Amino acid sequence: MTMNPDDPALTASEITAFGAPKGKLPRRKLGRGTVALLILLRIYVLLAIPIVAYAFFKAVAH
Amino acid sequence: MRKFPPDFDDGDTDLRDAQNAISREDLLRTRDRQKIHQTRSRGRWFHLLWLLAGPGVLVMMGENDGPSMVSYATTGAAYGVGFFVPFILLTFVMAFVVQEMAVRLGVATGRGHAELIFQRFGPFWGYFAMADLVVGNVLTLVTEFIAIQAGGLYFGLPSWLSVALGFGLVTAALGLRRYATWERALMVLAAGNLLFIPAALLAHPNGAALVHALATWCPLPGGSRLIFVTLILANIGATVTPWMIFFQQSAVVDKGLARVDLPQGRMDTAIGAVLAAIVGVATLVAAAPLFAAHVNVAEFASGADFATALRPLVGSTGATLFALGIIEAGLLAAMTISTSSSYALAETISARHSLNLDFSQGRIFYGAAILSTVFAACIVLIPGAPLLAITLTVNVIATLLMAPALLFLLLLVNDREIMGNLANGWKANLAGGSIVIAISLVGAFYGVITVFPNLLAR
Repeated sequence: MTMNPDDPALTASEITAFGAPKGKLPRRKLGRGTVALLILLRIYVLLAIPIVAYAFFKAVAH
Repeated sequence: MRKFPPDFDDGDTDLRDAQNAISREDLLRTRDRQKIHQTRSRGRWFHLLWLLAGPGVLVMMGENDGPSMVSYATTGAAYGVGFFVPFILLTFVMAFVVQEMAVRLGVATGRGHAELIFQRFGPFWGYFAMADLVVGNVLTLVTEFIAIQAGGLYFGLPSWLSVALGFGLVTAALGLRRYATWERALMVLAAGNLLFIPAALLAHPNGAALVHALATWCPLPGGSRLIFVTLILANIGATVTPWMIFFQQSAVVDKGLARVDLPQGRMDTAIGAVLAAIVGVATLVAAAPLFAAHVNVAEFASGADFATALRPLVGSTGATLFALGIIEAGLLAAMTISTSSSYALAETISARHSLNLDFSQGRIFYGAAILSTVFAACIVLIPGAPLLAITLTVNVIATLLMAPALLFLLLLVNDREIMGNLANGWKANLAGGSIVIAISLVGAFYGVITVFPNLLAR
């Protein structure tokens, strides 16, 4: 079957599919372990960035 | 081509209602879907792959950016052909594992990464994720302009001119106002990344040494452990970074990929990973003559100094290809990274986000890309900035920011409420979890030996 890319009927159905508004997803409840892991990695990042900055300035000073 | 269904005047009221209810971006995406649908029904699989390819190739080639190429070149100049050749290939396996999850999230949910994090985990964790992304993206964007400026210097262009041309091209690409056109234009530009392959061949690499390195991961690097760990982190950061997740997932959604397109989405990502890995190794090999000549790259001011230093060793053609490759790497990444920031920012504040938008409809989306590009361009023009040190440091920061980004990705891709049957299996979780642990441990080790350099000094 050959379809015309400008076939209005086909376009209308595809338009409906893509134009459908996406509702907001419900908030997910995070478990204690997951929250602990997220906090741990946050601390890791907050500690690591100053260390990288220190290494950077040390390298530039040399 | 700007022919949309609004041109129709066939008295079809349903169609007109649909047109009124949706936007130009949806119509453009619909036309693309229509073409894909026809190609699939005709069984033209290569054509189908061609139509659906793009986000994967762009994200992988985009990650072979200015700082990445400098990291590979620094590695080649510091250690020659050895341990890091298979290591670079391994990092691209990691990149494929991560990016395949981003593709799956995109096709399963039809939403961008920032949007999903905010909706599923709430604003507290959402803003942290965005802060990581913004810090990483802005710093990386600066280094892309360093690459553009440095490549321009090799050809005698003043810094301000290279930077202005780079900014003009990034803005012009956004001006296409059509995702499909933007994507194809960037794929043409991405082909320039392959310039590093002839540059490597002109360095007359030792084939036996390459095969030996691939088979045995030897010779192992000697010398300072801090430099070795920094280059490990820089090479991981050259391949796996947070912006890639945000960019590819949003691009998959903007392109309109559906669940049925997942095999092609994976293939697109795999092709991108293979091409980018070959280019990464080629860059290391191209710079390896500097190792043999005992050139101290620590004194280099920028990526273009590699090209200048290579000229007497590999000839002016090889050096010119290297410099052109550096410019291309910076330019392509400036386009993809600025777009990644735009997608994420617009998704965060629920603004419209698509490369199919007109400027009037997408002020925030396009504004974010243009403003971040202007900022990065201005930083590069500050006289006396330590550009090579900035470039290497940015990759290290990108690696450190990757661990929390990966955790968010793993949580989302295991969320069966939104993923359905596309949720992660145990193998993907094992691979993803191993990457998070490996990146975190290497990062922690880097921190320890930076603060206590004598602990493991030799």
